[in-house]
Amino acid sequence: MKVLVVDDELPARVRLKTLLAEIPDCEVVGEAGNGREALQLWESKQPDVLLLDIRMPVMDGLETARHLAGLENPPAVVFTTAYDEFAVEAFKTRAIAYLLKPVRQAQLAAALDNAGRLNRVQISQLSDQVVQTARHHICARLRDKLQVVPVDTIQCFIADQKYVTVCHSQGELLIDEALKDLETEFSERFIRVHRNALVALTFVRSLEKSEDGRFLIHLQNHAEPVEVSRRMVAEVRARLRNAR
Amino acid sequence: MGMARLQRTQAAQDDFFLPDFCSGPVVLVVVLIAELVAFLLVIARHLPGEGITLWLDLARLSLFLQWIGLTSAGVLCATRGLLARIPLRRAVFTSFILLLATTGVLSEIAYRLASYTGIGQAFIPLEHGGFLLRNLLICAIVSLLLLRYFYVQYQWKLNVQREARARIEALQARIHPHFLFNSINTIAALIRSNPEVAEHTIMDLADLFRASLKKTSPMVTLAEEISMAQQYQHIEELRLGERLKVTWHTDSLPSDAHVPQLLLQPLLENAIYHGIETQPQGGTVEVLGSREDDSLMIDIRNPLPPGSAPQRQGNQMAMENVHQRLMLAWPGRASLKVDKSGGFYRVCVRFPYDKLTS
Repeated sequence: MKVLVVDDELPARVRLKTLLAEIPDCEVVGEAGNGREALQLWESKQPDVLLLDIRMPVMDGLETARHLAGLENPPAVVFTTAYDEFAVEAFKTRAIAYLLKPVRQAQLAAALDNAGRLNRVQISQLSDQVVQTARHHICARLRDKLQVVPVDTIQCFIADQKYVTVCHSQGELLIDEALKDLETEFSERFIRVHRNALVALTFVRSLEKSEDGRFLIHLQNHAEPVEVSRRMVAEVRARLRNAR
Repeated sequence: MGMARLQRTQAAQDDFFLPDFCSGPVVLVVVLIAELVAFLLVIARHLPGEGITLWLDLARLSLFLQWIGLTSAGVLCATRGLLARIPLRRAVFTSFILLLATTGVLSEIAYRLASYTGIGQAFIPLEHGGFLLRNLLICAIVSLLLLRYFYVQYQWKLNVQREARARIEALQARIHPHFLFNSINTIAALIRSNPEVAEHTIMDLADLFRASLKKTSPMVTLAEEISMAQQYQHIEELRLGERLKVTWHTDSLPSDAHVPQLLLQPLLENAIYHGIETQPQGGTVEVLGSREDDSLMIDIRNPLPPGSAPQRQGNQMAMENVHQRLMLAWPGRASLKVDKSGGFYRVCVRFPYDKLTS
């Protein structure tokens, strides 16, 4: 069994590795200091189980699990926490594997045996109950790599037939999510300008009427303007004014 | 959903100034009160030694008052759920009106019954209006007394609950469970790799908790307080490694100044919890001390996490706790200010230079 240890505290990782070394058929394939590092390692290390701390900088354990649940062949997850009343309550009610730090050897072995994959429903219920905040990252597979993009670098979401294109400062990527869900989740940061487009308020440079009578939004670091549907112009204007 | 609403209504009802008039003990109290009022009226109306008329009058009055008392209890029991949902003042007023209405209606019925059937007519000595008015007046006085009693008792209960909650919160603010369990985890890791450091860390942790479990907040010297905060810092350094840096610029502070114990540690903990732990590369917490005549200032600042990273909860409680203890130690002469500007979160405490060991 290949295990990836994810915790922002070095002593905590050291302790877990020591304990894991004593469990037969168990191999630590890597360690990460936060969720983003873990997702980046996941591709190359292909772990069976992630030991995932809940409180971490950059990307916390719950968001990491949420991204993992979206993968085709997700690894199992065991959450670890020193103290998190709400999360522990939620894990109990949903029968999600978790360990309380300091972790006991026997409990660790048992958790690894029982660790299951989390499905999307479990994760979304969990995030509703525990964090109630939007993700800080968008995650997608790009060729054979897992791409993790911080939400605050995203300029717009454009929906096609089946996929949503995410335009961010480093390029583009395709995700398999509904634009409507993205709109609800990131309503503070993004505004719907068209049936098929959400743009980040902070990246809007200008809203102009083109020669052929269409309304276009010009975004920073994004060459192509985004069309605003006629009936949304007034609302978009109002949001932009408030944002400034 | 329905369950949740039911529980909420239940909670609202349990937390209401009127007792549950459907419960046995409360009904018994109502019966006793009605009987006492009957006694009172009879004693006031008759001279001792009137014999049989006194007892007859008592029996008749008791029947009538029990009738009113139990019906009123029934009315309040039925409307309690509704009353619990409206503002307290209006609920008190509404219950008062309900009691008056019940008495009025029952008196009217009694009067009509007596005049149609002729039964007990002798016992209603007054004409119609006078009878109603007298009953309403008596009911108003008794109801006001009772409602006042329930209201005061309810306020007292609320106060007791509030005090208990405040005590628990104060205690929790001082012992941060997040810190406790993470430290224990660090020690568990160190026991194998570095037993000496582990032992030392346990001592530091013990000192900190001994101080934080004290029921009162004793005064210690500033030197002692700084050393306590640094013990705390050592534990956090083990846990967070390279990510945590703390710089102390406190040489200008007089080490013999007296401060409430655990004045600095919660502020340092706050800075680390919000400003350092949330950052992958960590940061530096700065502690700056300065002196202005007889007033001392300590400034604790940490870099503000960039962007709109959500502030972790619990922040307010530590601040409130330290602020309260400052106010207790020097009423009106100390202050705690929080400032978020220039990319820093800054807490500034100001207090008088106090050498007395009182």
